Amino acid sequence: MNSTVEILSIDSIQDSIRDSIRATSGEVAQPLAINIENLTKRYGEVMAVDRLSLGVPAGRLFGFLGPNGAGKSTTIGCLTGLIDPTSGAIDLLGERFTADSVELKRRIGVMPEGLALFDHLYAHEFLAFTARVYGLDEQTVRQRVEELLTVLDLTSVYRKRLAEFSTGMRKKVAFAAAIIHRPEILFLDEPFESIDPAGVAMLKDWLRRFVAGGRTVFMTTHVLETVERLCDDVAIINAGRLAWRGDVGRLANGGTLECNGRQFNTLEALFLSLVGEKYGRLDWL
Amino acid sequence: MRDGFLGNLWTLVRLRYRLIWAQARTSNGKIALLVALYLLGGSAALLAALSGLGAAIVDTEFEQAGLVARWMLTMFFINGAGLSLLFGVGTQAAFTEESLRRYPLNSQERFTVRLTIGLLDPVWLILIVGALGLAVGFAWFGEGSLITGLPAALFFIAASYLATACLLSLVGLIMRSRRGTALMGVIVLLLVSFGPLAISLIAVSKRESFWKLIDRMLRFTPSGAAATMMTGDTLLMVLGSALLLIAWCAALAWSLDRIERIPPITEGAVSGQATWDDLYDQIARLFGRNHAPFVARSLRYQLRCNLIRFSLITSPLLVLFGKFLIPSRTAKGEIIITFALFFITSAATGVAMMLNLFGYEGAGIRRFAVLPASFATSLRAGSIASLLLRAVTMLAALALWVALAKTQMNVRMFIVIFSIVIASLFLFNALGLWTSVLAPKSADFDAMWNSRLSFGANVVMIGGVFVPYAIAMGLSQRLDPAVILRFWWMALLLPMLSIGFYLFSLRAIEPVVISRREKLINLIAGARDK
Repeated sequence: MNSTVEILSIDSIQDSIRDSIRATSGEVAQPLAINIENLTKRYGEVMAVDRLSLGVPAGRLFGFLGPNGAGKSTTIGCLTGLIDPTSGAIDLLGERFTADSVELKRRIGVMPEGLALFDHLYAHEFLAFTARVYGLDEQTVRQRVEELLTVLDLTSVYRKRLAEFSTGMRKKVAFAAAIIHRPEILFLDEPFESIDPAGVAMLKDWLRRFVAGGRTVFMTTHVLETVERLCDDVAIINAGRLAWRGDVGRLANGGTLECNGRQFNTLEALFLSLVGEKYGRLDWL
Repeated sequence: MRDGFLGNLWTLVRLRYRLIWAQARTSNGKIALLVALYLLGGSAALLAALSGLGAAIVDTEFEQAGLVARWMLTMFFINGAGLSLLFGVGTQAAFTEESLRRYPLNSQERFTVRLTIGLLDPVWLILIVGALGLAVGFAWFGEGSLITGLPAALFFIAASYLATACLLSLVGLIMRSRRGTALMGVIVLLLVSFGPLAISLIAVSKRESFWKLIDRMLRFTPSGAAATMMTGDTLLMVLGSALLLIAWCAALAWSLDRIERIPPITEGAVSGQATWDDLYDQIARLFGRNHAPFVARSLRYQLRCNLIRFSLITSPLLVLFGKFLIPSRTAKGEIIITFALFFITSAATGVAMMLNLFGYEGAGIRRFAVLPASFATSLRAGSIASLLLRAVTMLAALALWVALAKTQMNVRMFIVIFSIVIASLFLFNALGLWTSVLAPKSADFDAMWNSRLSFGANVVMIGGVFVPYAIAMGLSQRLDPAVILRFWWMALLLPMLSIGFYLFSLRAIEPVVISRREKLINLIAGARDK
């Protein structure tokens, strides 16, 4: 109950949080790659996302966190055309985005919930299909597909359908499909889960280089350590509302994160304070 | 058996029925439940009243010495085994061996649980009621006694169930590999498609010696042994039959145990060279830059689905031999029936995907929403691929029919048949666009049986088969095909109309599919995330 009260109070000052972030980080001049205004998605009586407003400057690696059912995947679904918002507005790269914004979709890359692979294609067929839909010429299609499959260590399974891949291999293919056309914004839903540590290290390196080139990553994950080390900005949502937004980079320099006048040494401590610690006791255990 | 085993068994049996009930609460499940209840209630009553007792009466009255009982029990067995295959019911239906390992049961108990749950499945009630009805019938009319009849029925039920379990386990074993799935699918679909045709041809040939041979062989099967045990005149016959039944049960139980110990077949090497710009891509390029990748993908998907492959391969054969399934023996009638067969086959070839273009995508349907293309592009591409594949098949069927059919062919007849094929192809592909959006159903790409279509799509499919069939039956006796051939040019109107409807549907479906996009994604991808 306490966390709910906190969220309600935060909801009223969302705009000021965003402004203060821009002001304190000196990024006022940075254009917003993603700008969400009062995004709402309702399923019958259930409010999955409730008047969410959020701005992500270009060139940032943005972590979008929240407990299960908080509305992360719904938000990413709205941002990528999978889900039609009930109300609110989304601007990507300075243009209004809807599910029918075909040209804008060419400039973003998506690794959606459930990965959305075509299970009965081979990996190279799936990647070539994706690249062709994004308008790449045949020579580039072939070159990038072969390169991606080689570096992701997937060349030994050319004649294996995606349905027969392990979860980690499927995730690598979905990741490759998201980046094959060099998008300007990359949306990743739980990108690292089930991938082996070497693969994760490589993907993290790719993401760092990706944002270093001025592109933007918007990702959800439950692994808070990864967010602390990888992301520049973080937003936490709970029950469909923005609960906190801040720069986690300061933790690396021995700094702390501030929320409602309290200081936190780790993102985990902050996260638990916002969503409520769940320490149910099982006396019989 | 350890203490508490029966309690565990009861819990698991109840869980099985709860799962059946949970499945029945879905909209398609309600239809299935209604049909199942009708089938179960109606069939059980009918079988008990007519087949069981009735067969006993017939057998007693006509002194057929178990002949009717033998065949009736064989039909019960085919019914039980067929339904088990059709609905995927068996010893692994509710709980696989692996899933039962989490419960406190040893291997013997797990085996018993799986057999018990399989036997208590509703599809086996028909066989149980029928076999018991037959035994009671014989005892009632003094042809046998309950003392031998009831054990005969029970042994027969056990043997039938074990035989089906062996069959299903073998099928399951083979289907764990992709090639095995294809092989099994071909076998099953051959039986389903050409079994009735073969029986029809044998029946037409009136070869009594063939049926006598089959009957002699049946005497040594569980159904034959059970029939003899129910009606046997001498103690020796009854004892001999009982021993044969017990031997069958023991052999089948041993076989089942051995089959379940066989390790699963693993796939062979999967490495190889990637192919680029293959025939799929080259064909797809004909449809423009926007549609090409989607058409190529759909062609690959459809040609990798065993059911569609089988349907495409066998359609020409159905056109050639289908007339044996339709009772008309006049030359004039056969021409009308040929027209109907071309229409029906053009409508029914690859129908599972044609009427449910999104149904096999699983979580992949989400990809269509995030790609830089209209959601309708993927639908149109699927329909174009379906139309292409079916057109090639039907043109091959037409060429085969021209080359092999005995019917006198002329230009007018060719034009009429060609027009019928084109009209049917475009009409049903147009309807497929609508059913795919308005009545979709999440389907299993690898499953070779079970209903793959929604209620609405089934209505279209059944209409496409039975309406022309009924018209052909009606006209074949009354209408001279010469009249149709005299007005051959009217047949050209049919493809023009259906092509018009198809082009209209391609355009008109776009706002509908876009407005239903989210619903479609939730329905198709929702429950099948990997």
